[in-house]
Amino acid sequence: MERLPGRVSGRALVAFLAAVAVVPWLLPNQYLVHVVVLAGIYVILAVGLNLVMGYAGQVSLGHAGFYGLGAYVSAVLSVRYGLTPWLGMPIAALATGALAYVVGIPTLRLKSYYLGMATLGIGAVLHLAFVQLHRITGGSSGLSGILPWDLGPLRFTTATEHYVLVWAFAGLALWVARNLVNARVGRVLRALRESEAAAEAMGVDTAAEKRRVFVLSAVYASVAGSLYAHYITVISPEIYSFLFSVVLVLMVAIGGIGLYWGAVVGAVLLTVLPEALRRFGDWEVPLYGLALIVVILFLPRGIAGLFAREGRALAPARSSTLPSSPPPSLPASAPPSAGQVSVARAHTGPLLEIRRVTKQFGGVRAVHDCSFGVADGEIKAVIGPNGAGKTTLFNVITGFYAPTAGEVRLRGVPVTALAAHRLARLGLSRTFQNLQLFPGLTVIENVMIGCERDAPGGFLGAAFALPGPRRRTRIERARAERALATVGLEHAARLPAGSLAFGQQKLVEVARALAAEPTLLLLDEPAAGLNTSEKVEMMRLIARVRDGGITLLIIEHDMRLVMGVSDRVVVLDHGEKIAEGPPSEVQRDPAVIRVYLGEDAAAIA
Amino acid sequence: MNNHPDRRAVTAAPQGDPMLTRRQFTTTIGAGLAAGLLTPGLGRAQAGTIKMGSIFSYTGPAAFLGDRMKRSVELFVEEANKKGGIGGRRIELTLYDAGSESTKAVLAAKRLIEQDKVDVIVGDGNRSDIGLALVPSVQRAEVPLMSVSGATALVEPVKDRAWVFKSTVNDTEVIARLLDFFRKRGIKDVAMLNDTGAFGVSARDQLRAQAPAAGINAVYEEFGPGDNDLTTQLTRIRGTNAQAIICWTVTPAGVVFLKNAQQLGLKQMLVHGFGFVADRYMQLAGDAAEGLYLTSLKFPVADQLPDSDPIKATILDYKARYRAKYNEDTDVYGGQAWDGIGMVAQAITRTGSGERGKIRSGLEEFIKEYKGVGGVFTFSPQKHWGLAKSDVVIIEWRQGKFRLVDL
Repeated sequence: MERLPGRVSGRALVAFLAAVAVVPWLLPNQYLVHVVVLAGIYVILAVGLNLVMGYAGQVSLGHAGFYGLGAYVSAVLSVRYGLTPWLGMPIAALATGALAYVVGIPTLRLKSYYLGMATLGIGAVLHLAFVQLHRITGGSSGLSGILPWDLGPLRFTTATEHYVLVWAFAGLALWVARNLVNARVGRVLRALRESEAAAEAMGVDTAAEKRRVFVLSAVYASVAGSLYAHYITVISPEIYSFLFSVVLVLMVAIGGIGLYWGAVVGAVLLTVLPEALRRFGDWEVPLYGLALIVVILFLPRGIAGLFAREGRALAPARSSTLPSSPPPSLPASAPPSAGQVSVARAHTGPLLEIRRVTKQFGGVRAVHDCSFGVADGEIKAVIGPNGAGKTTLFNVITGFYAPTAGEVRLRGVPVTALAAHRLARLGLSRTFQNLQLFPGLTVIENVMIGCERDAPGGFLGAAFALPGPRRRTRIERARAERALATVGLEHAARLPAGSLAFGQQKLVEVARALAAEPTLLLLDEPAAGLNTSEKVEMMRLIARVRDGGITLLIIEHDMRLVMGVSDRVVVLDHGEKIAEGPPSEVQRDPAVIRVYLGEDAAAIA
Repeated sequence: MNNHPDRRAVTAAPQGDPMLTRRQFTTTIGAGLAAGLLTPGLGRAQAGTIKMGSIFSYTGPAAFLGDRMKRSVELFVEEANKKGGIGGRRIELTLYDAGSESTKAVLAAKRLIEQDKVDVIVGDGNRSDIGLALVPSVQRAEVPLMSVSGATALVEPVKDRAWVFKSTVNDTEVIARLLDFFRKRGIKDVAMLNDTGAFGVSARDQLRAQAPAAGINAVYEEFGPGDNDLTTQLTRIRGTNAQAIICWTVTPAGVVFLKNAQQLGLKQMLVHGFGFVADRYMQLAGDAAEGLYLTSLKFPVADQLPDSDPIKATILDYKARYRAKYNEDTDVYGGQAWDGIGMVAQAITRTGSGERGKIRSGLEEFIKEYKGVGGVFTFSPQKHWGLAKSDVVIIEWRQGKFRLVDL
């Protein structure tokens, strides 16, 4: 298995949990056990937040609110109705998860600072609710008389009993996080953090993926809240203020963003450190601040970054020439999957139809009344000078832009302005003009994202390491390896994609699109930035792909490539189609010559 | 499984980059944390000493109260030890900051109880919600706690709060005292305008419970602690026949109340609760505070008390000592901590024991007519707050000074 820097082996995790298990019997008194109980609660919170921050790349400043909601729901149920925490905790988790889901719909559309501000608002509203609903919550003086944890008739009283309970949950939280991160979900999250557009184009429903993680993270916070409430048995709103959200973010940052076990280190350190500094009296606060500054200054990747395996050093940039001998095996033109077949056979017209598409940006008409079709099994090229509207047309077809007028049909079915990930799931795959790889993922992981269109989801299965998702991962890996072999990059599978030469990165992008096993592949300037020999290789690759049964639509400037591979060519100028036909005809078309060479040339011709 | 020969390699750091190596980091942090966690507090344990713990919030939002409390306790311990301790035993004080957070305060309490093994805790983080969070810990460990916060729930019901005492007044007494004052002035109709925080809500509930028996009609209005306009509420009150308006808050919204009342030209008597007795608030309100009545302990008007008053001398003495030591003035809150530790010292002296259980029973048994700074305290097995209605006075803000109106 390829590993990215910072992954922990299963053995290390088990060793860590075993060490955790004996801690309370090694500590000299219950106060220290209490410290590690709290640390365990914070571990759950920080690991959950790290899933959102480190993997989905979203800052949440509202986690104290979710923590508080978990605490208040199960505490109120316990105080007012005598409900056991064993029922209160799941009810609280459901309520918190539902809230996070609803709140996530609008807010997760926001990016970076804006999402931070929105979650800040959620936290503030929840905090205010804890204070203002004083008839239920006890207001700012808090809620006391919360039932402690119990096991049948046995009521938990000592810190050691709570230690076992809390760290059992912390272990579960870690295990689930590890499963997710190492499985498809982790791969997808890291991918969408690096390029949301590319993930979307590969069939990833980015909004849904982010929302699922956000909800899970809120559930983590809620469980931690219930654990706290029934342990301390008194809660008050001040615990769940904005300041605590910041402390949580700090735990994740200090521990190491994006390394799921980094949050464990951060949470434990930020719980233990202030306690260790207590004996310095008035110096406690300045020393604490100093310690944090030192960590942030000297360990920019967090403490986990210091301990993370470096993996291999990034590969020295290899020679940019492509493999000289064509790869032996031919593409991934594996038979289309069942769903595709039924659609495929029902339709007899062109595979892709563009009908009178117009796209206007304000006063600028980028594409005007453009129509053409792409037949099954052909290679069609769209050419035109700069600014002719090629890329705009491409973005309309792939669902990134909604056209101002006209429609797009795939196998006769209107797919105009369908979300990019849904188009991808219908069998449409693409590359990008300016590379949209996921540079932090390995090459094979990049290509595996291409398999996303077939069976999205599997979140819960992955969380609990069920056999289904694991089997699927194996299948996807095999598929990705085939696609890599097609482009001749199987030797680079375990390298970070960002470390490859530009030409190779372009091939990885093609492999990723091929792994989707598309019916229609759209290539956006595949030759751009390539040298002559690479261009030749790209032409061969395109031909091989078509021979594998995949229809291609190519946008390209490079005349040699276009004339060399395409069956038919569409010429655009100022957003309008001026010619269509086989390369040889188009080359002779006076209108085309005029566009490319100017009036004089047309006259000469 | 994994083939990483470089597992133990030190993180490669580009030259000149300020990076720590793994070993430097682990040894420093590891040793530092272990030392900090496992060593006892600063004081050295000696046979025959009284181990006392204190928890105040001297950082965070509650620090404006906690700072003088902490200093008062330190002053008390210093003076007592100079005189040979309490009943011949030196006090060994371990002070922890609650940082205005209840989670931190609970940690501090557990540390005092389990690791420092103190005999008694004076100070509960100086905020009611923080104090309440400490109650389960001290009850379970059976360590006496002298709270310096206001909430009645800290010491009621006594059967569940056997180990908790408090050196502050209850709003039960304050409201009762206020109703006496209204009767004396012939006021029959009043309006209560309280904030929705614990302090305001609790006072409103007390007024609801006591007003009918006192023959006083009350109407009620509320505001959020952060509100900056109360004209809506005051306009509604103007429409009633309330002769006095009582505002109950510790927040700056109390200043808004005074200014809005002035803008609306309200002629009613304006009254503030005992959480608003602060020069700073009066100065912020300017003219609008002129003639304002407040319910208060005797502390702010100590110099105006007759010499026969039982606690006049105590207050002036405490103020003078504090000023001599720190060269600044103390306040009524510092006085609460001063009374708290004073009563614990008295219980220890009288029982002749520094044992946890003895201190607890000593407080119930020997705190009778104790002349503190806040008033005259009397504890009993049924009553763990010491003050009475007679400890509350009505004062007025006039010409830049609090003046005693009704003793």
